[in-house]
Amino acid sequence: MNPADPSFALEIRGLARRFDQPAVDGLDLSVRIGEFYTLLGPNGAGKTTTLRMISGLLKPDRGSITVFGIDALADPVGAKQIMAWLSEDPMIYDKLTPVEYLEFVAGLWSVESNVATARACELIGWLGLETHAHDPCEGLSRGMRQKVALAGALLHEPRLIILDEPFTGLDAGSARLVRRVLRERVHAGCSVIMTTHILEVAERMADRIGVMVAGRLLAEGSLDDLRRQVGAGDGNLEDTFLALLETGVARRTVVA
Amino acid sequence: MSRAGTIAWFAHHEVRLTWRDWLGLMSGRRRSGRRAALGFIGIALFLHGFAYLVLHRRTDLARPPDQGILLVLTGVLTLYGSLMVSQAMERVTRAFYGRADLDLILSSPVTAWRLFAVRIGAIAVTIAAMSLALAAPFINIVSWFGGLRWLAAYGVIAALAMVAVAVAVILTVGLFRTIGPKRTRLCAQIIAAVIGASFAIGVQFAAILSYGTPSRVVLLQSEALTRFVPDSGSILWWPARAILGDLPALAVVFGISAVMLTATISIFTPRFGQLALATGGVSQNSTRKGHRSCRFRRTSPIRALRRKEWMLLRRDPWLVSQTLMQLLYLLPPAFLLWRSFL
Repeated sequence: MNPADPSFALEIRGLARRFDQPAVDGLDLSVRIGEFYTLLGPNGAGKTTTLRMISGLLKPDRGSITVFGIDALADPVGAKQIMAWLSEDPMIYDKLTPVEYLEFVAGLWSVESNVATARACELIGWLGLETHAHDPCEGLSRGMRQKVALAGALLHEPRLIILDEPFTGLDAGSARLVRRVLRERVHAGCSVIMTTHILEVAERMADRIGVMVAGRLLAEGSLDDLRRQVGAGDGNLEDTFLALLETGVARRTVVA
Repeated sequence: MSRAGTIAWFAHHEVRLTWRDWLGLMSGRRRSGRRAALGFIGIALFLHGFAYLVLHRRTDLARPPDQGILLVLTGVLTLYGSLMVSQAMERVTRAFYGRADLDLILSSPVTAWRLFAVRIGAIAVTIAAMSLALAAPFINIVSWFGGLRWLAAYGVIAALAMVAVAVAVILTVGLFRTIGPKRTRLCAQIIAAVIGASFAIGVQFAAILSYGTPSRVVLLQSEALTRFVPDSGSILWWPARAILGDLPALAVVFGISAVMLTATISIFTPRFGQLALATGGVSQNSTRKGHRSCRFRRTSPIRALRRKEWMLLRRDPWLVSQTLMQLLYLLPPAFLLWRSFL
């Protein structure tokens, strides 16, 4: 077996997970250090299952996951220490305030209390949560809750951020704020792998895009690479993505 | 505050959440809080009145224990214990399958077994609190008529709750190992329903068959049964003796129960993180996939409603177990009716 390449934040080889039918089927995928990688695909393509396996929330049937050189299946605690996971509908404790929630999350990642306090204040400021910092989360809007969860995910300064549909339900202002915070993190050397159905977000933010269909990576590259693959010229990501899906489905039909 | 990620830290977190929930329930509005307090007092008075009506004619409450009373008390404890195991199984299953904050905690580097140890302990406390709340009126009235020694029953019920939770954990983990996480969810709920109802219904059936009455006490006090049970010095009667104020027996029963729960938590919780991960795949994938025809049939609104209810019932283990429990409890009266028409 080849040793993990240290230039990659995330390396996935032959990853597979089956439920009633294969959800992820021999996936190979790599995310470089300091890269913003977006996974696209139709519903049921296996994107969330892939992210849950990377986060350690689901056991793969086979394959390997390496995070900054750490084998995430052999040493899940080591890998989790440098990762953050944010789901589409994150759980926020209704009866805690954002500050209390962040204090709890800091405890989960054993962040020193003075460091955690400083980072929490910084994140609360960045994400515009100051006025609600001491209100119970039950009264917060969906967008606010998503921002609190994002603050929780960033609190321990993860090196790999895993985001599953983080922009769902966010208003335009909040979405812009979250995009800016994520961009800043990537500039600071953090790597991000994100799924989204909002192609405009992927187009604006991703360094590379992977298109998944039926548990496999159908195409991968920058937007220009993908355009070239389907001959989409100057078409936007939506046109390119749909063209890719059509060719991918056609290819699978021929193979079948 | 305790060090992050430890059992004490998780316990503090759980207590804080429960306390806030409780406060939220009580102090939504001052008026509704007062109404809730009045309602609580009303229910307590009603239950004490009911207990008084059930117990005021009994003349054997103050007399020294004999086999008859020990048998009745052991029967009541078994009945109560089976209901507790049923409740505990239901809660333990939910602790694994309900995702809630598990994604956050399982994606962090903390060792999840500590959280589960706290949650299993919390289930024991909840089961004990609920059971004590239900039994309290009877214990108080019995203590009034039969002397303060009966107050020891509080300790026995707390001990019984610990045993019930330990048994529930062992059964649930056993199911995980033997039939896998996918089937455990349904089976655990059904087993919980059956355990909860089986003893109560079994004794009722026996009473109907032998004496033509659904009263369980009649069977437990019958001479036929008393003849077969061990003498009053047997270890079998220790829980009943503890209820009657035998302090050494109470200490032994309570101690064994506490050791049993602690040992169960210590032995099984290190694997709870893995079990919770295994359930993650199940909850994600509960609906059936496959090539099914999607031909609609013309039907009446009533039939459509009935069909929808059947489908939901089939696919929801909790609903299946609750419906099963209701049906099981209907069996003895149905049997009694059937016999009386013969």
